[in-house]
Amino acid sequence: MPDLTPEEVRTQLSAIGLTPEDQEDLDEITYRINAVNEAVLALEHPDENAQEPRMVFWLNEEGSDE
Amino acid sequence: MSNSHNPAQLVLRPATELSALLTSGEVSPVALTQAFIDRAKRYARLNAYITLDEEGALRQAAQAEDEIKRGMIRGPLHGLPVAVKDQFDAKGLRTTAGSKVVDYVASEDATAVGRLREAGAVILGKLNLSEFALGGNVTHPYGIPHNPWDETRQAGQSSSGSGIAVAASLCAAALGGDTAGSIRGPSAWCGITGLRPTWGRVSRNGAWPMAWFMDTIGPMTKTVADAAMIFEAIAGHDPKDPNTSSRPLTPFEPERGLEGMRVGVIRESIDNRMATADVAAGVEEAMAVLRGLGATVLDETLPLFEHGGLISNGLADSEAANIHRKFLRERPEDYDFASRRRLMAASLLPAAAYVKLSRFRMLMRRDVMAALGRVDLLVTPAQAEGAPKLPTSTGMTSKEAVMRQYFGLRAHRGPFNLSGVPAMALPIGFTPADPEGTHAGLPMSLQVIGRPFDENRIFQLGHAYQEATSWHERRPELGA
Repeated sequence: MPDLTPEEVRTQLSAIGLTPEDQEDLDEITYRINAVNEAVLALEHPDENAQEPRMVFWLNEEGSDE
Repeated sequence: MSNSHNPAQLVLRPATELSALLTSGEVSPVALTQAFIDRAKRYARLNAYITLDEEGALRQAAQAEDEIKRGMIRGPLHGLPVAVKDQFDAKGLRTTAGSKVVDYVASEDATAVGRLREAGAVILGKLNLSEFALGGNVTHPYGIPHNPWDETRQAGQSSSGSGIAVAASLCAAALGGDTAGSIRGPSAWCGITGLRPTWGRVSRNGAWPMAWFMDTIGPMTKTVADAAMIFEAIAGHDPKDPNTSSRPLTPFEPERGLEGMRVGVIRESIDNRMATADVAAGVEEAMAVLRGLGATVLDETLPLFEHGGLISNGLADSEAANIHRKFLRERPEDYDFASRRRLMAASLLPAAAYVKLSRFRMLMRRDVMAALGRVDLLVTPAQAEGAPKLPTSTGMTSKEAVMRQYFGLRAHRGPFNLSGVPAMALPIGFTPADPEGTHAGLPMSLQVIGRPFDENRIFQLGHAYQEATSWHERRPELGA
């Protein structure tokens, strides 16, 4: 996946009502989102799609996951 | 008054010792509160407090003194001067969340703060923190928090003031908040004990949120016994936080030794330079102590360990970006530049990426629970290194720098807040002294991880370790 450019990031931010303060802001935001996107894309696990996300974990009386 | 009961010296003692002296009437809550206030003012340069409530604290202390004299003892916290992170509301006191964005006087106590008051504790004030408990900010509207072991270094984020105040004896105990390491990190770098409880054990009502499914509130203290005492006062179901558990709390009762306890060292947290050589050696020495106490120490594995920082920060930052979306649109200039950039970047995370991270959170939880099925407790370093120098910039000058610094190959706390399990930072020694002479050794810390709702087993290990060692008894030299 190609990195987003600073101008693409500015456009995406603008679409949700956010405005970087200056060029330094925009550059670092761009580094950050490109880093997250690349790192998430690289995550791989054979059981990934066998795990349905749950936000809250509880335990039953026996101490195992409900 | 004997020197041993001199309030100016007593402030250095653990909360449990102070509790015994207060409830027996041997020490005046007013005198002890005044001593903590004097010390907090004397060491104001550390920037531990945002609000020091002298008048209110002395009024509460006078009431406690009167009640104790009349035999109306509420419990072990009666008359004990404590302080709380300014992430939590305290009735009549200012809440800033460490930011320039919010500033109001709370009309109600956060539930955890209210429970401390009901138990008779004296609330000294509100403690400094990273902006909105996010961690990672460079500027601090209420002063840069300084590590009392070396004032040129970081105290850890985000419960920075809580770590400083306990380590420097500016309060008897403190409350911190931990979404992705914010109790354990500062506790480690400040050389104190800090518990992140099981998610759902302690109400978050009245606390500024970051990521609701990982946010916790817990004690930061000088000893494990202190932590257990505070934890028991604040834990339990709260109708104002529907996600609190109604599971009964069993009071912690120390036992001698650790016979039969199985402790698993997560190798991925130490091997392949995932911790400095000093910290790795410190963990090995701590394991030798545990073996001497009767524990069986085994190697354990957590294959996704190195991704804990990415998964934890990716999810937590997305949640925080949603919470802050209105302020970010309307008052971006009031945020620290690092917080603003981080939250704006997180605002752009694709939904599919969030879902993928949520699935990996489940895989992490599965692996953590499997490991906790093989052993009673897991351990890792709480921080991979001693406290670093105070930052002057984010240092995020490339995508690679973000990956290296922010996701952190050394993100030792993420796997466990992702999993909702309890974890405690426990002091285990000091690094060598700085050749430049800025410190005589920085605190090192062990993270002890337990099964959900099994805080007492963590306390058991920690208390036995502290009975056998004296690292927790060291206090920083603060000078004038």
